[in-house]
Amino acid sequence: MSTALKEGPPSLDLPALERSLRSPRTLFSNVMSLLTFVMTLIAIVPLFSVLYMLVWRGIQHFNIDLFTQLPPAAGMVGGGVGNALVGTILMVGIAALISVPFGIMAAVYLAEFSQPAHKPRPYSTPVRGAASVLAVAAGAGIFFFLSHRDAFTAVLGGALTLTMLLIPVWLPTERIASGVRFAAKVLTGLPSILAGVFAYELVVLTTGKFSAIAGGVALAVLMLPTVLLTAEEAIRMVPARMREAAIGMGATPTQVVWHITLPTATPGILTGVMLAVARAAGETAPLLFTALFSNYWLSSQPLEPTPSLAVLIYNFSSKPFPNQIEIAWATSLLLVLIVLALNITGQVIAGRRR
Amino acid sequence: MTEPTSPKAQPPTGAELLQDRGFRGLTSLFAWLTLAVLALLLWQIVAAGAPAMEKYGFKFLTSSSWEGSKENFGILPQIGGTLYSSFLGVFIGTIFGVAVAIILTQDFLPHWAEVACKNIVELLAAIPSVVYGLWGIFVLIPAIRPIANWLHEGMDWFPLFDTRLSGPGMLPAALVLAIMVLPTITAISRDSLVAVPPKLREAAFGLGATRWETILAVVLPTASRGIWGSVILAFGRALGETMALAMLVGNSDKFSWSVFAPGTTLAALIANKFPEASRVEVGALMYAALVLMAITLLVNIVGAWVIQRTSVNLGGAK
Repeated sequence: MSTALKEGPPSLDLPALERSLRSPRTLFSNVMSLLTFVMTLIAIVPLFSVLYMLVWRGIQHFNIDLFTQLPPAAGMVGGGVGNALVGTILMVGIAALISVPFGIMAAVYLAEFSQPAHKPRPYSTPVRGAASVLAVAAGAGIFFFLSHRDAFTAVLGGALTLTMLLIPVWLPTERIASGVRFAAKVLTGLPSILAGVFAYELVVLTTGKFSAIAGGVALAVLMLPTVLLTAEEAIRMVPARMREAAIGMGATPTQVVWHITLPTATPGILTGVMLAVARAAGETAPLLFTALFSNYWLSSQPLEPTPSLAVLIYNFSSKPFPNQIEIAWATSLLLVLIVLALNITGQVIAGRRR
Repeated sequence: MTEPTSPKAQPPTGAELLQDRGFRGLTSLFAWLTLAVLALLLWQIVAAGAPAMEKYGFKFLTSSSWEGSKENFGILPQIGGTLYSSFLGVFIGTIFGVAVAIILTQDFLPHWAEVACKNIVELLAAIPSVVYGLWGIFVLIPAIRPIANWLHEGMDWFPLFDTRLSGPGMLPAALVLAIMVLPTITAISRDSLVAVPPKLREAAFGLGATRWETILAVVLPTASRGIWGSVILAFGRALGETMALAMLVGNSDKFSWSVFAPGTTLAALIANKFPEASRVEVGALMYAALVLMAITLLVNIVGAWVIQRTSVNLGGAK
C-alpha cells in the first residue's frame, strides 16, 4: 500500500506508513507498554505471596484443635482459637443486628420517601434563616447539655434538642437526604480506630467494663455506611413501573416498600450486608480497646472482655514463641477464608441479580 | 366492593393509611439517626480530647516526647510519621495503581484477562490489615532487608537511606500501605479511564499518535479528575490505617527522614499505648485521636477542593 502512495506526485512527499520498531516514537511506546506490564505483575505478587504464605504456614495448625481449644500460653504447644472464633461471630452478629435494620430503614427513606411527589414549597429567606438559627442553637444546646449535665442545662439542652427535631418540618426532604448521604460518606472515610474511640467513650466508660457489646457498637459504626449506601443503590435499581403498578392497585407507599421494593432489592441489599460483615470480621483496631481480649471461653455474663480472631493475630504476632506465631498464621488463614467466603457469596448474589 | 373475598384493587383503608404514616415516620427517624450518629461521634471525640487539650494546649502538637510516668506528652513525631508514611504509601500505590488501571482499560489484554486481573486486584482489598501486618513482619521485612542495607551502604549520603533497616521501619510500613490503597486507586482510576469518550482516543489514533502518546496526551489528562480523586481518597484511608502500621512501623517515638528508620504514627500510637495507659495518658491519647480526626477531615476537604479545581481546568478538554 505504501508503495502505491509513494508513486503519487513527488511534491506531496507522503511519509512512510510502515511502523518501524526502531523509530523513537514506537520504541518509547513499546518500552512503556513493557514497563506497565511489569508493574502490573509486581502489583499482584503480594496477593499471591500472602495467600501462599497463609496456606504454607497456616495449614499445619489448621485442624480440629484450632476450633475447639483455647489459645496456648507462652511456651506451650498445641492450642487453638475456639474462644476467639466465638467472640468474632458474637461481635459481628451484634454489629449486624444494629447496623442492618438501621441502614436499610435509612436507605428506604433516602430512596423511596425523600423525593416529594410535588415540587416543595419555596421557602422564604426569613424561614430559612430561622431554620439555620434553630439548628445552630440546637447544636449548642446539645453541647451544653452533654458537657455540663446539671438540671438547668439539661432542660435547656432538652428543649433545644426538641426544636432540632422540629427542623425536618422546615427543611425540604431532599436536602435532608443529601445531608444523610454526606454523613454516610464521611463515616465511610472515618479511620476505624476512631470508631473504637467512640465506642470506648459511649459504652465502655458508661458500663465500666470492656465487652462484646462495646466491640459490636464499634463495628456497627463501620458497617452502617456500607449497608446504607449499597441498600439505597439496590432500592433505586427496582424498576419504577413495578412501584407504579402497585400504587395503581391502591397500595400505600409502605405496602409498596414491603411487598414490591424490598423483596425485589433483597439480593442487592444482601450483597452490601455481606461486604460489610466481611469488612467487620477483619477489623482489629476498633476492638483493641472496646472488646479487649481474653484467654478464656465466654461466660454467660453479658459484660466481659471478649476475644476475637483479629486481635489474637495482632497479640501473637509480636510473641517470641514459635507455637504462638504458628497459631497466628493458622488464625490468619481461618480469618481470610471467612472473609473471602463472605466476599464471594456477596459477588455470587450480585451476579445472579444481573 | 360487592365481593369482599377477592378485591384485588382497592383504595387503602384508614388503618393502612395510619400504618403508612407510621412507617414513613420511622424511616425518616432512622435517616436522622444516621446524622445523629456522625454528630455524636464527632462530639464524643472532641469531648474526650478537650480536657487534655486544655491542659497541654498547643505545646502538645509541637513537642516530641511521650513519657507516661512523667505526664509529659507530645505528638510531633507521630504527626510527621503519619503524613510521611501515608505520602510514601500513596506515592508508590499511585504509580502501580494507575499502571494497573491503564493495563485494564487500554486494550492491552483480552477481555477475560482484564476481568481476571480486576478481580485479583479487588481481592487485595478483602484481606484484613492485621494479616498484611503479619505477612509484613515475617515475609516482607526479611525480603527487603538485604536490598535496603545494600542501598544504605551504597548511598548513605542520601537522606532517605540514612540508616540501616534492622527490622520494622518506615519502608515496610509504606509498602504495605501501598498494597492496601492500590485497589482503591485502581478501581476509581479504572472507572474514570473507562469514562473517557472513545472518540477522543480514536481521534488521536487517527492523527497518527502511538498508543502511549494517546494515553499520555489524551486519555490520562481527560481522566485526571477521577485519578486525583482516587489518590486523595487513598491518602485519607492511609492516614487512618492502624494495624499494619502498628505492627510494621517500629513505634520509635522519633521522626526520621530515613525510610529505613523506625517511626510511628498517630493511629499506631493510640493502638499501642491504649491497653496499658493510665487515666491521664488516656486523656492525652484522646487528644491525639482528635488530632487524627482533624487531619483526616482536612485532607478530605482539601481533596474536594483539588478535584473541583482539576475539573475547572478540564473544562476545555471535554
